[in-house]
Amino acid sequence: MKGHAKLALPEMFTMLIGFGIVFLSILYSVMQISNNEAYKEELYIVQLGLELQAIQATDVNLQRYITDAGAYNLIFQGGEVSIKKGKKFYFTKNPDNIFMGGEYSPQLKTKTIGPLTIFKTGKYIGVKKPDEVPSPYLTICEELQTTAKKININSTEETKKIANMLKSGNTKYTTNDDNADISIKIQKGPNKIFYKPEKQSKKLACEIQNQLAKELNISINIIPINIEHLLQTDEKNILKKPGIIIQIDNFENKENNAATAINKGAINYGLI
Amino acid sequence: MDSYKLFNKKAQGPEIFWYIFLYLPLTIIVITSLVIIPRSLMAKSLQPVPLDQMIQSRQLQSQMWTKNPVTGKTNLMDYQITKDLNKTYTTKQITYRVQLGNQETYYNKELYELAKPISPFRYLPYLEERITNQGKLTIEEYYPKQYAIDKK
Repeated sequence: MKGHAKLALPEMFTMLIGFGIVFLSILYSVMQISNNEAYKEELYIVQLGLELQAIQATDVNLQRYITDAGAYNLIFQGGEVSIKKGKKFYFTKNPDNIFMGGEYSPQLKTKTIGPLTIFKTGKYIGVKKPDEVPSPYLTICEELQTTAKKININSTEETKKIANMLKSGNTKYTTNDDNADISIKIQKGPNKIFYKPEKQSKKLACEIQNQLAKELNISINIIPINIEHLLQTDEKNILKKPGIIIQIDNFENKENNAATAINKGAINYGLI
Repeated sequence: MDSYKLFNKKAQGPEIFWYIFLYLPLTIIVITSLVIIPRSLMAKSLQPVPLDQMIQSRQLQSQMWTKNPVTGKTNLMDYQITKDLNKTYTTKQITYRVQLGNQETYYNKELYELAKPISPFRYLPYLEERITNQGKLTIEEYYPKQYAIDKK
């Protein structure tokens, strides 16, 4: 018996060491679950992908600011969110939306990507650095085949400079021309665009609204006008014919941007 | 003298053989498995498919909302089957059917016909029904349990 006990001791010691290692390994694995990098990456990618899907389930403009996107190499392109050489999530996109993505890597100083913004504005959705996000005031304009060869431009004393910028060297913009297809009046006032309630005028208002939002970064509502309820003296009576009235509040020193926006809007409308 | 048997050269040969070629590699394999398996299981334990299906349903409904042609205001109570409802940009293998009243449209009908009879075994089903001003709206989706790429 004495001999047997002596013989068993080293074996028990070996077994104890073995079980100890196994037990500690299990304990270590359990403790590491919350720090599991593969799990974290998977969760992060899925979250970003589903957020991109979820923002398309609304008809309003949205922005989600991510304070720090972490120490990953993130790629947003072609309907997928991925971590370079790692996890991927394929998100779905409405056919009407245009996706704006990119590749974001940790910066040298901070070793993280830094802030990112997930956004939906007008027909654009995507992920960009906060300073690259398009204006949050964009809207979706109706798909409509429209053409215009001439546009009447009317202005007030305050907005004369913008009208002149549009007309200088461009014969498509005229004044009091009966053959013009549609008219634009530019005046000073709270940011609004009034339009004759018909498709052509609404399309022009919408296109110019988007361009003004981009150029001047302003929120500008478009409002249909019921002409039947206007007084004879109301200046909005010009909307008896197809057209719009653009009211801009503060455009001092931004006349060039305003003229560019109106011109771009008119071209998108179908000015040929 | 028995207690020194382990270190006896005669007895040492076969025991060391078992330790080196069986027990030691086995211990390494077991420990490595214990560390790696929970990690890979954790990564696979994330099941976003049901949430994805619900979001897709909301996405489809937002495409179906009607807009006032004059004011452009969205009417969340009135639905319509739009021409692009059967188009969704994704590389994921998914299929859905949308029915509003008597009208219906499919995305990836081929997969729909394959997936519906064998769900919920291989494909996860999702069904949402609601009563609208235009009749009963049904959205039915089938996704593989684990995401798969649509090779088309």
